[in-house]
This record gives sequence, structure tokens and C-alpha cells, in this order.
Amino acid sequence: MFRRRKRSPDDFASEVHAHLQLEADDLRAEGLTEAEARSAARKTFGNATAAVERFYEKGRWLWLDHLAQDLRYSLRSMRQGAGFAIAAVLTLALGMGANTAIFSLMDTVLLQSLPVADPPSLYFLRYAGAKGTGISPPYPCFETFRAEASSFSGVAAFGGSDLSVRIDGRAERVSGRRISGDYFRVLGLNPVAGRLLTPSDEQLDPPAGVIGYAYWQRRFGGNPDAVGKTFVMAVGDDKKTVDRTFTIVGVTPAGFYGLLPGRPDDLMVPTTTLPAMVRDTGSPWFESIARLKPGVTPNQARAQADALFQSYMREHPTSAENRRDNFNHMELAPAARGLGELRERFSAPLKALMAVVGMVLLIACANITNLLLARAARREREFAVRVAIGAGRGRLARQLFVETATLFLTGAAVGALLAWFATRGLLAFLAGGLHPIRLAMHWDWRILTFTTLVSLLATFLSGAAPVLRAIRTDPHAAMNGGARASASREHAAMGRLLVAFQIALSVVLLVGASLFLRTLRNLYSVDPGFRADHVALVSVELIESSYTQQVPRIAAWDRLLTTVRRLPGVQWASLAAMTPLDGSGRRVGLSAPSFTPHSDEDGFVSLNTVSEDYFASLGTPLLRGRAFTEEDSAGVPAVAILNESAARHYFADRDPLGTVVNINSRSSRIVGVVRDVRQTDIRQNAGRVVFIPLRQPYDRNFHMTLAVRTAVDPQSLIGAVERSVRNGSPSVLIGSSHTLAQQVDQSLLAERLLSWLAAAFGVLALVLSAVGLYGVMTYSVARRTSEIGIRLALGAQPARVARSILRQTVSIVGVGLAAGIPASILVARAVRHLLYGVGPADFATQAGAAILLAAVALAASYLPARRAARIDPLTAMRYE
Amino acid sequence: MPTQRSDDDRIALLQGTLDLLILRTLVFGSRHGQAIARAIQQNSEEVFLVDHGSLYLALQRLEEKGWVGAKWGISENNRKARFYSLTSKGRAKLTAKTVQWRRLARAMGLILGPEDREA
Repeated sequence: MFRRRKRSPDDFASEVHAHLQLEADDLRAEGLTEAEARSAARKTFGNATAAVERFYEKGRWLWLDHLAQDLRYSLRSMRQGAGFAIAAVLTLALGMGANTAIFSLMDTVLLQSLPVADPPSLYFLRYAGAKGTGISPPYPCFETFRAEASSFSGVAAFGGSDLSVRIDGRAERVSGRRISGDYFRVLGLNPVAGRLLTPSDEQLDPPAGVIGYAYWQRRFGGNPDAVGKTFVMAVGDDKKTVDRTFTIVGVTPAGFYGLLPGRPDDLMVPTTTLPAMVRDTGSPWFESIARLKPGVTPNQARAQADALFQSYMREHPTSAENRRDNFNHMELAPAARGLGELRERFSAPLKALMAVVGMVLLIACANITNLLLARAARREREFAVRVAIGAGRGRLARQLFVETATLFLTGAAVGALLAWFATRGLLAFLAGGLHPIRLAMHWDWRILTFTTLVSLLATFLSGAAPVLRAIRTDPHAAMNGGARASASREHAAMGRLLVAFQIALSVVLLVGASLFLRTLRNLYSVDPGFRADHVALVSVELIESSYTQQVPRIAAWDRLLTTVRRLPGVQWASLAAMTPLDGSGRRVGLSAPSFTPHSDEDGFVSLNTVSEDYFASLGTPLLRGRAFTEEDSAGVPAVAILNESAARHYFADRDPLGTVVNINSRSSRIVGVVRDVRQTDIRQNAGRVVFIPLRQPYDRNFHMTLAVRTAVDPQSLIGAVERSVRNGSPSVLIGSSHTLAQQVDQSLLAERLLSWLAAAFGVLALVLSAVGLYGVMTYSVARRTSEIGIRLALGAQPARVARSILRQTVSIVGVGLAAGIPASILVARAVRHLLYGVGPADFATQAGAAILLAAVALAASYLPARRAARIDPLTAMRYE
Repeated sequence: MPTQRSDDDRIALLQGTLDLLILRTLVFGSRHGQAIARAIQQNSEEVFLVDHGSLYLALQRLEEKGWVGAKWGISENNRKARFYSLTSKGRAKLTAKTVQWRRLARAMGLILGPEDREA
């Protein structure tokens, strides 16, 4: 009970005083003299001062008093040792700031729940089989879940794709979501303006859409008038679409970005805008999210969804293989944190970075421990005096802890400030690529708790040794000065051990950083099957309603190519449905004579529709036959080109040229074979690809990417290309423009983040260790000043003295390396899956790290060694 | 004449006993601390050793519990002193604690037997 006392200690003391007088009065009345009476009264009372003190301490928030005292004291001593305090706080700010920054990024990417009602009761419903887990079963199956699964209070569907819309007559491309009518009800969201979509909006009568908060701000400046505005969007399927006018009826709440973290939804329209897909009984194309009813376990719900799924699969049979591999049963996946793509991509790199910053903090802590030990040695007399005049050792220890904790919390606060700026930078880095990853970072209690806990833990880690030393202070010996040599010898040994520990950790970090950097370099130097330099990519869309017929559509693409080819600086210009590493894909069945597929999978290839000159534009070598020409058009028999993998798969050693294959049951003659291109991931081989000419299309290609090889900087040509595309026709839309090199960069975003940050932290670790070593060696020289002075006076060579100091460094570094290199192998083995083209136990890397560290260590101890060599014997003898 | 016996004959107060003794001395009206100390010592035939520091802390405790009230006043020989008096809550506590003590004393007496049988 911390009730505040109403009575002051002064009042209590005056009562005690009154008692003594009254007692003396009584005693005098009993016959004692004045003096006798006074002293007897005092004697009977016992220790009056102690009573007053006990009164003071009783019921008071004594520890708070002491804490305030300790705090005042530590601030005072921080001010006195300003140099020490600044060094310590800076070191800690770097260490703590790195931890806070990486943790807050990790929190945002990996840990945060969606800002929806009761996230833990949300689950994704997915089909699964021997080949893993998929997405939602086809839409009609979803509809049976929605209608019949009583375990859920609601089931909603959502599928994502970019949408082309016209607002105020201007065409633009937005990040879109097609959602079932009860999507927002299932998520439990409320609009910030207007209303959200409801099941009746699925009728598209009238058509309605909802916009995201970020898009509202970006596109409409947050103007309330946005609600009620209309936009035109094509509704329909592959065969036939019609333009419909939609009304924006509302805006989703500010914190809600959609269910795919990192990709905010701009525009949400009903799933029924794709009528064919909604009817399609065989194609999965969206995700289902369901909310469990209270009291229903995920297992019960899964069983129920599975029963519905199984009966659906009986009605819509597929091949036994497909049934086993893919559509085997239903699974429930927790949806509290949304879709996992971003998490999967960044989980391992972020965890590795967390470990890295943890080690950086340990190195920083070791520096602080050394500083504190040196300071404790200097303050030995002060502690001794305080113990001698009766300070409790517990109190002394607590005060030292408060001092250390003050340092650490100040460091953490400054670090949090650094982290704030650092995370802005990190978020900008993630949002700055071609496919911006837009994250909303909230600094909430979790970040605060993390930072506080880490700084307290660090306080204990680095404060323990100095505090233990301080409370072991023997007042007698310390006052004598006799024990100082031994105590500081002990401290010096501990300091050297700590520096060796720092060096071991630095080895691990440097080895890790250089492994990651080499991984990145290896990834960039992989031969991807194309030349990424000097290629500009401009994605272009023909507005569907203006080009419904194939002939004018191809004519439009042709005109576009002709104008771009005329631009100065353009070497080759071509069009392609997919470009390397752009994340898109299209699968078709391909069968070849005398090829027997062993599984369903065997008959599938990726399809890319390209114009002539595509391979020349990308720099992909043609291995056999010929490339496409303008003559491969509608009037002549269809042709196709295979990549190496497809040629090998279907033809083994035989020559594919001239053979007629069936691509989704259309006959095409193989006219060429090209080199494999790393299409989806620079780490992986391409897989099988068939190319068909744009002038003999299979799809209705409204979207194509212009791939332009330039003689000049491709970035400088993008503007001119865009202008000529726009001038060519009012019904074209430019999606995004960038270079192929940027596209490669984007695909390696996580790797770049990891290796750059690891390198930065490696350098930080190196600097901190160098500072630590410098401190310890300087202290050691200072401690031995008189000894060195005597040696020099007796005729020792200054160079020898300096060498002995350097020898000490070498032995410390040796111990550090001996521990660090095996540790680095263990650590690198744990992150092996993040490496590419380099093993965890790479000798060159280890040797490089060791040499770098040794060089820096020797440089750091050069100054102390020189100081030792220059000690003036006379001054040294007078020392102390 | 000193009022003390030699310390050996005295009994240190049992935990919680002091509170009861204080409350009892206040039954006949308000008193200041020194008078309470004297009263306890004299009424117990000088058996109890009352540490005065503890007494004042106990008074403070009782005041905080609301069993006694206190205010500064003037003693019979014109000295400033702090006078304590029983509150109704204190009176109720006194009754309860007295009953408790009597039962304890009786039980102890039964176990230890009549005084004359003691060696």
C-alpha cells in the first residue's frame, strides 16, 4: 500500500521531543536533578534518532526515494564524466538503434495482424494435395462453402489483379481486388466515407466499387467528393467484354491495406465482373477467407469444408493424378496476418538480420563493459569510502545498476531516434522498386517493450561484472592503494577477454556479410540468358473496347513498333507478353509427336507471345533455326520457337526443327531453339517455354511490354518511347516504364537488403571492436606506465616496448579468430539457404575477414604502442 | 526514586500485544504518548519493557488504521503534547482483541496448570 503519509517526519520528531521533556518532568518530580532527569529520559527512550528514521522509512515509497536519489546521482556522474557518457551513449545508440530498426521492420513484415475485427478467427480455405497447398477451390465450390458451411459466420472470396479503368476520361491502371459481396462483412470493416460493398452489389445493378484509403489520398487528395464519382471498366470474360460505368460508393479505413501485406488495394469491385470465372468449375483463381463461428474449432470447420469439397470434386471430376497432387483435401490456414507472400520472401533475411544486429549489440555491450570496468577501477576509492562510512553494498550495487541502466536507456532513446530515421530509409527502399512494397509501420507498445527489454537485458549483461567488482571492494585494501595493482590486473585480463569475444563476433559478422555480398555478386553474374544492360521496358495496354477485333489490334501493335524503331538511339524494338523476372506466367499444354507424357505436368509449358526481334532486343542467343519475322503472320502456317529446356524435354537428342507440335491443340511448326532465360527467379532455371509470334496470336493480347535495346542509356530513352506510344493512338495506356536492369534489381530486393545491411553492420562491428581494442590497450599502457618507465630507464629499446604491446594485440586477436572462425562456419551453415554460389565454409572469405580484422586491430593498437614507446622514464617514475 | 526494575525481570512484548495495551490505556480518556508508556509500565507492575520508539511507531500505525485519533494539545504541566484517543472503530477492536486475549490466556493457563505446581 503506497498511501501517502499525512504526517511529516518533523511532526513526529517534535512528538518524540515532547515525550523526552514530559518524561524529564516526571523524573524531576520523583526527585532527580535536572541533568539526571534529562539523561535518564533519553536512556529510557532508547535510540530516538532511530525511531524518527524508522518513522521516515515506514510506509514511504522508500525505493522510489532511493531511485530518485540514484538517478540524480547517476545524472551528476554522467555530467562529470561527459566524455565517457557520450562515448557510451553513442555506442549504445548504434547498437540499440540497429536492433530497434530491424525489429520494427520484422514486426511490420512478419508479426503484425491485419487491422480487422478479431483477426485470430479468420482462416484461408485452401485445397491441398501431395504437391502442397494451393489457393481456394473454384468459385462454384466457394459458393457451396458460403451457403452451407455452418462452422463459419461468413466466407468471402477475393482475387487480385491490376485493373484498367478510366476516371474522368483518363485511362489508368490501378492495383485491384475482385471481392465477393460479404468480404467487408466477414472482415468486420467500416468505411471512412460512403459505404462498403454488400452482397447485393454482386448483381452489378448498378455497378459499384470501393477505393482504398491510400488511393483516395493519392488520387483524390482525400476529397469527400470522390465518393459518387464514376469510372469505366470492362466487365466480361476472355471472349466478350462490355464497358460499364461504376460508381465509387465508399472508402476503406486508413489502416486497412488489403489482405496482401505490402500491396495496398486501390480499387475493389465485385467478383461478378468476371462472369466466366465465377461460373468456371475447374479453375482456381482467388482466395477464400472465412471467419470461424465462436466455439467451433478449426478442425471441425476443416472437416465440414472438406466434406463439401469432396462432394464438389465428385460432381466435377478431374484426373486421378490432379486429384492426388492438388485437389486432395481442404486445409485451413490462419489468416490473421493476411497472405504470406511478403512474409515468406522476407522471413529468412529478416531473421538473419535480427541475429546480426543482436551480435552488433553484444559487441557494443562488451565495449560498455570495458568502459564501465575502467571507470569502476578509477572510482575504486570512491566506493571504498562509501563502504567504509557505512553504505550498504546492496545499495551501492543498486546505484551502479541505476547508473548503467540510465546509460542504456539514454542510449536506447537516442537509438530509437536513429532507428526512426533508419526505418524511414528501409521503407523507402522497399517502396522504391518497380513493384513497390508499401508498408505501414506503427510504433506501438511492442516496439517500446522490445527496446526497453533489450536495454535492460543489455544493462544486466554489461553491468554485472563492474557491479560485482564494485561491491567486492575491500575498503581497507582500496584505501591503502596496495590492492589496486591486483584489482586492475584482474580488470585488464577481463578487458582482454572481452575484446577477444568482440573480435570473435566480428569475425562471424564479417564472414556473414562477405558471404551475403558474394551471394549477391554471384546472382548478378549468373548468365540469365539475356543481357540486362541497355534494355528499356515499357508496358503498354490497348484499351479493350477500341480494339476488340484481332486485325486492327495487331495493326496497332505493328504501328507502335514501327514508330519506336524510328526513334534515334533504338537498336532493336520488340513486344512480348512476358519479360524476364517480371513475375508473370502463362501455362499451356504442348504435345509433340513421339513424346509420351508420364504425368499431367509433363504436357505443360510456359507460353510467351513475342514479336520479331524479341531475342535480339534481349540479347538471348538463338541456338538453332531462325527467329520470328514479320512474315510469320495470320496468312501463313503457325510457327513456334522452343527454349533449350523444352526442346530437350520433348525431343531429347532429336532435332525439333520442322516438327509440328500442338499448342493447346493448335498446330505449330518448330522453327527455332533459343537459350534458356531465367524467367521467374534468377536462382532457378527457366523451365520449359514455347514462344509464338505476336502476329499469329493465341491470346487476345491487350497487354504487351515494349522491349527496346538502346545504344544509349535506356533510362534516357524511356521518355521518348512513351511519347511516341502516346502520340500513336489515344486508346493506349502506358502501365509502367523501367529498365531491364531495374527489373533484375527488383527481383533481388530481399538479397540486396540483406547483403547491404549485413555489410553495414559488419563494418559497424569492426569499428566497435577496434574502439574496444584501442580502449583496452590504452588502458593497459596507462596502467603499466611506471613499469614501462622503469624498463626504459634500465635501457630497454622503445621499439621492443612497442612490440610487446603489439604482441599482446596479436594474442588477443589470435584468441578471437580461433573462436570466431569455427563459429562463423556454424552460423553460415544455419543461413546456407540464403547463400548462392558460395559455401558456408569458404576459406577465401574467412581468410579475408581474418586479415581485415588483424589489420584493423594492429592499426587500433598502433597509437597505444607508440605512446608506450615514447613514455618518458622520469615522468613515469613520478606517476602516482 | 527510579521507576525501573532491572531489565532482566522484564518481558519483551509479544507481537501485537502492544496495540492491545495501548488501546486499553485509552479506555478512560485521551492521553499523550509519554503517559501511555508510563501507564503500561505501571499497570503491568513494571513487567513490560516498552521500547518508546516502538510505542510511537505503534501509535502511528493505529492512527493510520483509524483505531485512534490524535491531536496536539497542552499537558497538565503546560507542555505541548500529542494526545491520543480511542475512536469507535478502536473501541470495537479493543473489545474483540480483549476477548481473544482472555481466551488465549485461559487456554495457556489450562495447559500450564495451577501456579503453585510450578517448581
